[in-house]
Parts: sequence; C-alpha cells; structure tokens
Amino acid sequence: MPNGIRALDLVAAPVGMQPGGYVPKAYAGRDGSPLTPSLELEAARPPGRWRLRLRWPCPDPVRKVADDPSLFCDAAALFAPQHEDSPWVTMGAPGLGVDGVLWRADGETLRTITAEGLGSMKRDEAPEGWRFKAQHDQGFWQLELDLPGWSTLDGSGRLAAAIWRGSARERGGLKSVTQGFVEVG
Amino acid sequence: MTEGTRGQAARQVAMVMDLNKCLGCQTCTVACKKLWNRENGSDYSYWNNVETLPGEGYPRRWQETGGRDADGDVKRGEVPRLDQDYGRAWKFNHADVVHSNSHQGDTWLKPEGQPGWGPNWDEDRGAGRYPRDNHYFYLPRICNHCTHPACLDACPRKAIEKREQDGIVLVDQDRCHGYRFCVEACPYKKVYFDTERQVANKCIFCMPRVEEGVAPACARQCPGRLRFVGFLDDEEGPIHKLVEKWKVALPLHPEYGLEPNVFYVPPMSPPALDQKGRPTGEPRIPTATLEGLFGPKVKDALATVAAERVKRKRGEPSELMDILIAYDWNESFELGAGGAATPLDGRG
Repeated sequence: MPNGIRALDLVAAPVGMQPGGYVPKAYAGRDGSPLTPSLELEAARPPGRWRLRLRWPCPDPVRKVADDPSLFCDAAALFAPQHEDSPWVTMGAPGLGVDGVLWRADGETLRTITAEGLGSMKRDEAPEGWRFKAQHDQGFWQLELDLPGWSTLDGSGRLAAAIWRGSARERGGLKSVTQGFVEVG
Repeated sequence: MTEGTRGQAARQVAMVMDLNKCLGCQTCTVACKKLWNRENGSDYSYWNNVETLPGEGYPRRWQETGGRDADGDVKRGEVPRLDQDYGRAWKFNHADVVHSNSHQGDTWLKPEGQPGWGPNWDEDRGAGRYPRDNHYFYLPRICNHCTHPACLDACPRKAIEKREQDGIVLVDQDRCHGYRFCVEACPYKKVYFDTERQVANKCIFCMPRVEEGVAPACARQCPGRLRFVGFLDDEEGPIHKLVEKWKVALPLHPEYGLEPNVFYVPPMSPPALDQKGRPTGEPRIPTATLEGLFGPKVKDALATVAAERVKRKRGEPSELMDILIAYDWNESFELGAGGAATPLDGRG
C-alpha cells in the first residue's frame, strides 16, 4: 500500500443509541459485522485545501433512486471535531459539534453537514470550490474530494467517516463508521 | 404504549366513517388528491384512498408490512415499492387520441406501457362464492392521527409532531432528511415519500381548514355522507356520540396499540345462503374478517346498530340512526368552539 494511505476497519454504528423508539428495536441485533467492513483513506494537504481520497468495497452500487420510494442510494460522509472533546460516535454533542461533508451517489454537488449529536445533523450547500469525483469500478467506490478552506479540519487534523450502503437500505443511523477520529494531518 | 411519543394533545380531532354507506366512488380520493397532492414526486401517493376488502389494499399488503405486530410490539416494517406495491401513476395516450386522424374507434384511451398493479387493481373483486356468500365492502383510509403515532416514534430527527391543540400529526419537512423510517414503521402505511423533494409527506387532516372550523375535503365532499368530523371530547358532537356513547365506531387494527383517531362503523351484510339458497343467518362478511380489522368489539357494535335500525323501522326515535343517516350534513361536522361547523358553501 503506498505511503499515506490508511486502511481502516469500520464498525456498524450502534443502533441501540439511535433516537426514537423504532430503530433500536426494529434493527436490534444489527450491530455485528458492518456492511462495509473497510475503508481506504488518503489525505493530502496542499496549501489552503484538503485533498482526500476514499475507497471502499460496494458490490452492488446504487447510483440513482429515480422515483421509487423504496430505494436508497450509496453515500459517504467525513466529519471533523469542532472541539477536542467532540464525541465521534454520536456525531458530536450539544456544544461539542462536528462538521464535514456529505456525498450521495445520486447528487451532483457535495453538501456540508454540521451536527451536535444524533438526529441533529443539518445539511447545507457546500462552499464554492468544494469538488468531488466519484467512480465505481470492480466492486469499489472511489471518491476524491478537493476541499479548500475546511477550517475545522485544519484545526483538528482529525476525521471520522461514515458509509451508507444503499442496496441494504442503509440511511440515517444505519451505517458503517470508523472506530473513532483518525489523524490525517 | 409506544416509547418516545411526544407532544400529547390537549384535544383530539377525529373522524368516523360509516362503512355501511360507502359507495366506493372515490370522490374523497379525488378531493384530497386535487387539493394537496398533485406534484411530481408524490403522484403515486394517495393520502386518502378507498380500497376493496377483502383485497390486497393500497399499498399492497399494507396490513403485513407495517412496523407493529399483533401484540403492538415494534417489528421491522417495509418501505413499499413503487411498481409492485403502490402502483405507478399511469400515463395515458391523450395526445394520440385527441390528435388522431385514424377512423373513430381505431385509437382509444389507454395507459402507456403494461401496468401490473395499482390502487384499486382488485376493486370489487372481494371474496366468497357466488351466489352463496360472495361479498366485499369499501374501506376508505386516511392517516389515523394516532394518539401514539408510530411515525413520530420512528423519526430519529424529531421531524414529526403531534399538535397539542388538535392532535393532528404533521411532518416538518424542513427537518425531514428522507430516511423513511416513518414510512417503514407506520402499520397503516399512511406516510409517503416525495421522491422529488426527498421528504416524507402525509395527510394533514386538512389542518388549515380545521383551524377555521371547516371539515377536511374528503369528508365534506363525500356524497354518501358517511364521514363525521369533530373532537373526541365534545359530548354534543357526532364523534363522541358514535365512539364513546353508542360505541358503534371502532378503530382500525386496535391491536397495534397506537390508538388511531379515525373510527369505523363496521359494515353489516345480508345473510349467506346455504346450498339450497336459504338464508343461513350468518352474515356474508364473516364476523372474523371484521374482528381482524376492528377488534373484538365488532359484534357489540353490529348488534347495537341492528337493534337501533329495528327501533327506527318501528317508528321509534333513535338518536344513533338520526346521526348515521345524516339528514343534515352540517350536523356531521362539529369543529367550532362547541358549535356547528363553519358554513362551507362555495369553499368545497
């Protein structure tokens, strides 16, 4: 594996802590093996920007959901802690937020995300200049991100990732995640 | 009791539908669809639908795919599929028909493609053996605006609320992220997903009308006068009388434990016939079928309606029959502050 590429083992996000009474019960027992077991993460920091590359296995990609309400597309998110103590597994906590970027396989643009705990995520248009390139090849998604001016990551140098596998109807708290924040810079 | 229920209502607006009077005309469906639900992305969805029972329903197999089991416990539900479960909104060859130069009759109005399923695909099919015990009835359905809504319980983002002033359950589409756990969890399958805007949507009980004392469009437009609207705690209103006083209006699938606030007067039916064509004394619609829908109080409700019918036939007064017959439709809707509904003429 080339220098600078991190091979990360992912875990299934614990459903027992998901908000509301339905998901923890309906999906109880799902905490075993993550549907996406691993992720390659490569980070580079040219002046004023972050270049990130993610690669993860996905044997049955869902790029479009068209008009069928039962379909979910593949997605990935990266987020960085706004504070030293921002928790990772809950996507932050009140006063201890996280922020980052969300990619969806059916989207033409990236979106930013901010959160202070489960169920609190807000999405917004990404800053001008934030770009991505995604392709699926031989059972893997590869996502390249060019993110100028991501100040939170500049400050923390740490990232966490979440992967949603659309074919398995993963969304919200049903996802595979890194086992914590990962040092990238 | 469902965990996570928030926002218990101080008052609860409710609806009663008398299934003995439903014609299956779909006027309610059209009234709702035209008013609220015409945009791309929700073209497949019907906040109000009328289905034939016995039948597969809309969406298909909704009684099997919800997020509650027969004991009211959470089970993993399903998000219905467009083509197989809801049925895609059909496109018709209007242009071909209108602009055709062919001989009259050569080009006729028909759906494009080969639809394989849709709302009311099995309309009027029913069950039983003709002529002995064949039967069907219509079941109009809207969101039940449950006291313990499964959709609200399922939303990780707290994007669904139950209004304190009237108990109407609403989706905050600004908060909704389109996860569809609400669609999955609702055992009545009455939350939909707008595929264009990527948010959930559902019946709002015509909330802007209700706020002005005006009944929902589905109720107001019903030619059969089978719908009654009011507050459960209004002892002078039709809802309280049908549900609490006379106990002839029952919730759909009470075993789910969500306490629906739409109630049904179960349908009576003529007797089945034996092999020689003589009445057996058993109703054509099996009581077990109705109990499977409305619970164990069906027999008592049917007995009460039957007894009051007999009284009325004898020329004796019957408050229950007077309500159900709905001589004056204004009296079917009691949404004002203890008074009659706001007159509606000209506002549909």
